[in-house]
Amino acid sequence: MRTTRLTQLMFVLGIGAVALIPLSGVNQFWIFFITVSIVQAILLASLNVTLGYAGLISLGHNALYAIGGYATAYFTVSIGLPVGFGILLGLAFGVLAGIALALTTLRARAVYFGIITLAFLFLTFETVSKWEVLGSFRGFPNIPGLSVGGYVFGRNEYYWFALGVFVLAMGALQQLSSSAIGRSFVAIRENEAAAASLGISPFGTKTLNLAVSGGLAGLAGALFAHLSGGIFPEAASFTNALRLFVAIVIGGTGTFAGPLVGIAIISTVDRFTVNWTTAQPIIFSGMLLGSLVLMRFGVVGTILTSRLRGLFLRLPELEIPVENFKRTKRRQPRAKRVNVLEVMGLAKRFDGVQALAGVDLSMEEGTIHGLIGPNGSGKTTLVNCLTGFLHRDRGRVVFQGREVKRARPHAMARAGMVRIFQHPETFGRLLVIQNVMMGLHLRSDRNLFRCMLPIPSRRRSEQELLGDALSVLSRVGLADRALLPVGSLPYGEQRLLEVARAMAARPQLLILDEPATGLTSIELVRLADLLRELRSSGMSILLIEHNMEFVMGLVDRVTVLERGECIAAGEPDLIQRDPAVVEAYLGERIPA
Amino acid sequence: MSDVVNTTGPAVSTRGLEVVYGRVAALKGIDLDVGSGRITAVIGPNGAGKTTLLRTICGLERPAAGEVLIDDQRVESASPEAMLERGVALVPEGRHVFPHLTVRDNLRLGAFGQRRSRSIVSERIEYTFEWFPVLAEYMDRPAGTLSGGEQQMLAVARALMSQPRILCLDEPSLGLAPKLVKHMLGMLGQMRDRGATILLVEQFAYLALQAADDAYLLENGSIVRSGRSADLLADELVRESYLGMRVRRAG
Amino acid sequence: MDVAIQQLLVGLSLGSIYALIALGYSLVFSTMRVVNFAQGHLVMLSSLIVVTLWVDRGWPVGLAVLASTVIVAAVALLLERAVSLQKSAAASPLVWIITTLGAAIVIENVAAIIFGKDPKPFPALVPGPLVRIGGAAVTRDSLLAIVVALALMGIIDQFLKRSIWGKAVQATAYSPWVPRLMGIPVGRVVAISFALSGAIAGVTGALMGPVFRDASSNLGLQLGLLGFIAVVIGGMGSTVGALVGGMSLGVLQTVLRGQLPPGAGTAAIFLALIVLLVLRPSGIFGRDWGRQASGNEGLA
Repeated sequence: MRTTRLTQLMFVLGIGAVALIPLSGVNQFWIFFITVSIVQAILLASLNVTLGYAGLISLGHNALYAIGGYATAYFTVSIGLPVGFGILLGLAFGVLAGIALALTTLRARAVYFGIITLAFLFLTFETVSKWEVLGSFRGFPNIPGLSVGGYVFGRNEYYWFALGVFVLAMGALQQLSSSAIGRSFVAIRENEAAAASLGISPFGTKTLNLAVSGGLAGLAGALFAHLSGGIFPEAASFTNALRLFVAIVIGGTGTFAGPLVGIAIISTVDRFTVNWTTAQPIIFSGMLLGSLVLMRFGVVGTILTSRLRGLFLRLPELEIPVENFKRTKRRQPRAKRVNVLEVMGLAKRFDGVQALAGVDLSMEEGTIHGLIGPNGSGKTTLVNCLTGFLHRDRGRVVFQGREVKRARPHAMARAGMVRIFQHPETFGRLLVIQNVMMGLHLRSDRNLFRCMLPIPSRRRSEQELLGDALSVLSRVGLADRALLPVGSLPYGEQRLLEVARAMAARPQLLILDEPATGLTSIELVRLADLLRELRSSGMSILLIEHNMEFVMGLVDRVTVLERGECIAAGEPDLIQRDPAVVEAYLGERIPA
Repeated sequence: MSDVVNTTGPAVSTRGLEVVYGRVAALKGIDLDVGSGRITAVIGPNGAGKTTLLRTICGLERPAAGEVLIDDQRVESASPEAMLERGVALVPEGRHVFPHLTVRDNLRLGAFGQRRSRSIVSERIEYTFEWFPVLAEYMDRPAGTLSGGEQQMLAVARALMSQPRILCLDEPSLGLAPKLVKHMLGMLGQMRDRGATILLVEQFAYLALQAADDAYLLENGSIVRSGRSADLLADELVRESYLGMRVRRAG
Repeated sequence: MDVAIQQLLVGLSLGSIYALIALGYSLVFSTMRVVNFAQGHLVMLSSLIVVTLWVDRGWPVGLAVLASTVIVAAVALLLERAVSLQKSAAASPLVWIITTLGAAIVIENVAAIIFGKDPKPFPALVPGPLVRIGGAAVTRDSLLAIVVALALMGIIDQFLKRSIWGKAVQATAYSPWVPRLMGIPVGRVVAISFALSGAIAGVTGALMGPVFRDASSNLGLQLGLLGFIAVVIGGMGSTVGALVGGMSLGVLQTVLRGQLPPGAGTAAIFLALIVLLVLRPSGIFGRDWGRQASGNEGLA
């Protein structure tokens, strides 16, 4: 999310006001209370990174917090390292724990993640509450405090320190959210398959996300340990996990202010019910269930509906001149025609059916190649095998002269093979321009540290990307739709958007799976022209289609599949007259 | 199958049927009659809306406008279960036999409504063997181990278990060898001779037209040709529609 | 050798509890694609109800168990309604997670209020001297747990394989809409699987008491997590898997408890869960239940 100058100003003023509180003579107890709340807000922000951005439902997030706290406690108390080192180690252990959690997403069902995090929480709790090395049930009650050059921090100093860390963390996260990395988190959340087809690695992204989130949570835990002087097993308790979860659900995951509001509400409820130990969990679970019914986007989300939302989330003014998509010069025909793709004997069996029974296909570079055949003939299966969404049983694939041993979707995209799916796979809840930006992922700056800092070079490159996205959109005629949510576009325009998104990735081979379905005649003409232009700029295009009129007028060569086998290949006119092809589509015609 | 032949009117009709997915009109103003005791085929290129039409008639989709009529009663908002009670059974695209259950169990589930009477269910299973004798050999095998063609037969047999008046089939030829497809279509003809009403969606136009009595050619959600299938067979429009050889009229 | 047999038998009786919890998860997941976070809590609730009716109120033990089973099955049905009413194709998983998780917490806290927070000692179901097998000595209740678990799993297995409703459950596990074409009431099938998982939890609660020595409102999470590990080991969607998964987990835990310092055993098991999820997430007998959407294997 981008914020406007107004929100930024409000944020600065708010922080300024909060910073002045200790000087107002308020009771030291409240200073401590707010400091703890600030640290918990940092933890909640880390949960927001995982749950809000990436959509990973982490129910036991405070495990990472506890690990950070215990790490620093152990290293400063038992080993005797300086406090600064301890805090850094707390952060490091948080990162490691996050990565460990991410490992489970490699192959386990996404549905399991929630309960896995609970198991991880339980594991952490058992470890810290039973292991003598970590103080067993006693924990670490005497953790040294922070001190700078002999000056020991008092409550006020901790307050400002925590506030400072909070502001820095929020700043870094803000930068991250409007960077390629932040976009990759959202992409994985919204549509993992589409993301993979654009070169975003689902597993890699989740690992990065949990590492960042874990580090932040670990940092929060370490801060808490030194701030309060002690860390105990209850830091990893399920009750705390519940509080955290309720805070984020109530506060909402879509905005920055959400976690703050959530923590504020929870802390307040906490404070006033601190004596009702039995009723507290019921109150929290009641709030949880209630929020389900009443507030689908959390308190902050509910407040920020339509108009107000626009105020806070307006994109920077699009003042970039819309220039035409940089046309590469028409390529001189090469002396020797190179094959961009060669497929030999590809076979795949699944669900008891031999979907592909040894398919051969060659595509010359810079051509449009049609792939046609009746339903169930294996066209989409072939594409899935080429792009790595399915593993082939047998056969060889050579792409751009290099053998493809084991295809994986994001890796194939990175190698220059981008596909579009048979049914629209857009990032439906995002804006049109944001969809296209996803296509630019491979050409964006993806360095983690640079993405967290507000350096000018990154801002420039983001502007460039925005400009690129706009020019791609204008190429397909959707520039005036840039700021609309994709879900509001008619079907045909959504398909065009997918083509634009794939084009943005500048693939060597663009694979389109039935792009003409549902397009109006005008849109079909537009698409055909677009594809011809892409061809003349050197792109190779593999086109699966049923709309014969569209295909035959456009392609250079055609391959016909039937029942997993290639029954004909050649130029369109010949194919249309080939009796085998006629039979394949229409069935045998018994002479009258 | 019911031997009662209703000669007084179509078994199923649609009037002005419109189905919308999001913003796309999948079906526009469809008027269609499925003749009682006849085979009606719906053909057309992919994306024309054939499956949508079938699913709407069988209660899996709700139309945005228009009517589906059975015996002059409006049923377009009925659920699949209610349609089953009116005697409409669907053999879905892709067969969808329950792979871990035996052939026998798949058939039994087809007559779920009669589960309390063992004798009725057994009778009906015997009846399906008349049409598909090969299934008798596989009674206790898990359905997932059958070949594609055998699974298709099982799917049809399963639909027959509810003794439907109107049998709907969605692309039964998918993935099947041509010989098997012809055999299947031949069988549908025999059922029709015994009084069955059949609605067939098929991608192999010529084969479907040879088997059917009446046909509708669907293109982009609208009916572009209808009539006796013999007439459509001779119509070059069919061929051109499938192979994209027609000059598209503007609009 | 005696020690080995001892540990094996104790492990199997503990594993019986886990196996039954695993079965509960499996039934609900296969028809609804939902992980019921309250599964362990249902067991815990049952154990408290049984001990209260039997020990405090003096009911005959059989009646207490029966009553508890009915009550817990009813609670499970309520939960099913809550989840089904909200579940639609577009709803985020957050909805059912919050619902079942919220239910778990409510159950735990209501139980704490009604039955008190202190653990209640759970006496032996089958009083009598220890049984000697080989050189080992086990309580009669441990053997009861194993026998009842095997019997119950056998019954459920036969139900799924032989009765028409059991087959309807399998059909619904395959696809939520195809069974409708045959007039199978999918909504009712889902409710049945939830109720069954609740009934199983009811019986498990009674068996669990003597094995864990007491009934306590805070055992819900632990039971739920261990039962989940059992179903990951054995594979979702399979009765045999639940049995094998549960038993092996029980034995593993008992053996580790003997070898490792206190607490480390449980920690080691959770660690093993993480490793298992990385290496073989579908478990030993995990079924794909032949879902039509195949593909997407290479997505990671």
